[in-house]
Amino acid sequence: MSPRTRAPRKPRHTVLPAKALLSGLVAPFLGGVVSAAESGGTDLTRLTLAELLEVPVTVVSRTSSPLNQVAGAVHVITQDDIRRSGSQSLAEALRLAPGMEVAQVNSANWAVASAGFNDTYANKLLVLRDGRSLYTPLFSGTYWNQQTTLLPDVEKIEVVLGPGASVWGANAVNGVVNVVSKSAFDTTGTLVQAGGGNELLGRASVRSGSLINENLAFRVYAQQDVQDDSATPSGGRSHDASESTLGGFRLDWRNPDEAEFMLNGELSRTAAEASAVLPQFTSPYSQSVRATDRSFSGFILGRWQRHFSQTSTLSLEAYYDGARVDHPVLSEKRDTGEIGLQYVTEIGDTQRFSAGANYRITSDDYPTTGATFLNPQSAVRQLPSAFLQDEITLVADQLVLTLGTKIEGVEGNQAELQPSARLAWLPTKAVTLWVSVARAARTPSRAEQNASALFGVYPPGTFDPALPAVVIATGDPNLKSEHLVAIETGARWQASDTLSFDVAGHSHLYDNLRTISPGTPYFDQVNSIIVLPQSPANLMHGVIWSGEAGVQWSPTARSRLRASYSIFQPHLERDQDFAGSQDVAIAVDRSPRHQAMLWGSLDLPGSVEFDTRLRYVSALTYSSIPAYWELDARIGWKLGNGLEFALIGKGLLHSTHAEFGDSQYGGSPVSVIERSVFGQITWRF
Amino acid sequence: MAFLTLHFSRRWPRLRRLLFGCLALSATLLLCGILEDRASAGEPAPETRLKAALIYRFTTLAEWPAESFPSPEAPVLIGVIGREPLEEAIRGVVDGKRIGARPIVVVAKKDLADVGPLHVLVFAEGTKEVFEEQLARLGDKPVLTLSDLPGFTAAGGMIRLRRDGPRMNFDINIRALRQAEPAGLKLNPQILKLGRIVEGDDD
Repeated sequence: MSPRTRAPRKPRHTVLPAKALLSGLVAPFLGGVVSAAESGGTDLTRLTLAELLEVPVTVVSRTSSPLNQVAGAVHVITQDDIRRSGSQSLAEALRLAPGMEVAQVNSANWAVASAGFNDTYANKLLVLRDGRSLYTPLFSGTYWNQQTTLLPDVEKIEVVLGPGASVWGANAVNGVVNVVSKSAFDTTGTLVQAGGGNELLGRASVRSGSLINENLAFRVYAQQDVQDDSATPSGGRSHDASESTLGGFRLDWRNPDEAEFMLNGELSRTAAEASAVLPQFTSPYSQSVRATDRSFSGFILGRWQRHFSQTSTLSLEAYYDGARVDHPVLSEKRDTGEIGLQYVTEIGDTQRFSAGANYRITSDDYPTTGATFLNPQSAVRQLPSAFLQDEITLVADQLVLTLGTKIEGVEGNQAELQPSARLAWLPTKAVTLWVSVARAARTPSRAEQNASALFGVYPPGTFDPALPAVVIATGDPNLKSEHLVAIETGARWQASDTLSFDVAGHSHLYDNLRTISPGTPYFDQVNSIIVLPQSPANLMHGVIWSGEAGVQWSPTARSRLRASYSIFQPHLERDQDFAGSQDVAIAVDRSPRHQAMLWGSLDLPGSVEFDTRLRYVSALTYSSIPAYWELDARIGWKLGNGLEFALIGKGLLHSTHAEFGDSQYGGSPVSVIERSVFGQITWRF
Repeated sequence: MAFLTLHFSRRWPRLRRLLFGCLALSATLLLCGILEDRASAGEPAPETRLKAALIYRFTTLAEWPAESFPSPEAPVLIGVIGREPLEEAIRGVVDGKRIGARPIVVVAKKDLADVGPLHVLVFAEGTKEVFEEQLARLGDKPVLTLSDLPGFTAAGGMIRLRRDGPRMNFDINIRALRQAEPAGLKLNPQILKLGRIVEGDDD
């Protein structure tokens, strides 16, 4: 039996922290929150015994109710949302969270951010999967194309907009994404899924899980994907087709009242066609190369939790994560180990105190393959951090104040203190008003400190009449951290069982933002070239206002309508401006000023599910990408005997549309996204 | 796959009309709310409420000898030992329900020391030893015994509800059922088909 079965025996407020810790790091946010009444519209007494055995059990923390009382802009994407939206990757599923900027760059690459600074190499979003950072220190971001995931085994994705910095670590500047996998107790049985279409040419997934005994469960899983090329704006092939394979296992052990243990391991590989333009000193001054971008990665993660009493829990998590990336521009070998300890306890009836410490060590190596290299080529970086947080109930059930701070040390930089204060006021059970102030820091990435990259060559006659001129960007080991002070506020209103509203506004005050500044040109006698040096500096500041609003309405038990809108208003400037600087444009003009979504879900008679999702993204001026409307749709049939068939259509309004332009190609989109259809059959037994 | 895309594009105008048609249709359906508000087997439910519904369903699938009721309209009595949330959930589920002419009434129990006449007994608390002791007190009375705790069928209990992945399932102790048969307790054979049959020694 799973511990959830027993959970109701304990007072709620003691169960939830452990549960939330288990499910992710939102725990310190959710603490002390009492889950909503177990209402729900269905009259279970009308179901037969056989039908009752088919009803899935909801997990308390998965419902949106506890989130009603969080002092922050938190959005939870459930497994049901992922499935019904037809999302085929983690990045794509993040589109479902209002305020997230998610753009498909090409066949497998995505640019994901919130409130500005979007890029394929976006560096202000912390992405975690079961507490493991999906992060490369090279650019302080996530390689989305390498995050292949068996989506049916994802329990939920928690998205926090704004800095979660008092508990999370580096990079939690504009937002935190935490992917929570299902426990092995929830994945018993076999799942076989196979599908194909014109873009995701084929996907085959298999998972098999079983309950070894009352307290021990495991699963093994594997998935293979084959992805077609995207198109070029002129209608050709983008040469970015890819394939990926992953395999893994998860084991969960529970002694419900005392301890829990989880072990998860996975190996994955991806291979993609990649093209790059490599500059060279001699005519024709650039060379297009086409190569295979390969990655091979794996991790093993263990988490142990001990409940000392009804009100205190100690948890220990450790993982090893390794990656080998073979890319025509820059290859990477990276090994990361991390260990973290957290303790949560209640002091009296009014305080919930949590503390934790964390140590991460990364060893990397960037074998030189061409125009880009790192100096030193390999390095070991350590990142120790610790946090303290206290959640104080000022007025029972009405006013909760959360104070916390994180301290983080980075080599070559002074320790960053990142405090936050959050206040939630619940004037009635259905209304939450919240406000928060937090400071966050983003420490410089390895590339910003140590990279040297040949960006491009001006042939003779362009910069200099006789000589070629090369643009070389060199990192600065003394680059400082970027700083943010975020003031946020929001409101939630559960108007009825079927209608709820959510609105949040963020005011982000930045300082020390990283810029690229040109240095003084000089003549390199060895190569007979003029060098135009560029280097990073901390020379940009300003404020970015953003906000999002959403409404959810279920007019009947079988229909649901969700609408959301988000706005983005940046006001950044360089400390000293100079003609031709692209820093501000690169930072904010690749983010849409307005986004909107309208999502209708219907359960039709005969076990048919129908979803349509209309979304609007305003223009990205830096990349000259016009505003667009797009429509995604899914229809699913449950055929009985565990068989399910689904047909998914994406980008249905246009044969192709561009979503993002990479800065390394001057911002114009290199690839466009084609309309796609995908059919999938799922069998559970 | 290029041919597929081309083919798709050529048929686009008609497809667009179809898609907008679908969209308009779904919007209309949503707005009017004309779909019947009926329970769907796929809709998730909180675990406690689901257990309570299962306990109610088992109660409706059992038969007791006429002697165990003082009158034809006398209620079916469900006793619950321990754990208030489950007891409350069962109360909520059986409220206003009848089996034939008989209403269903939930009675909270500390233990079997204060046991009066009962038809269903739910153990919402206890360990194997406690179950053994309490079940021994019950003797061969025609009482349907249920629990959601481990060790229950091994201790001689009849039906144990348990989580099976994301859904609920149950174990049924065939030996305990046979022992209660002479006293007149009968269970609908459908139960035996759906549950996992155990002999009363494993769990």
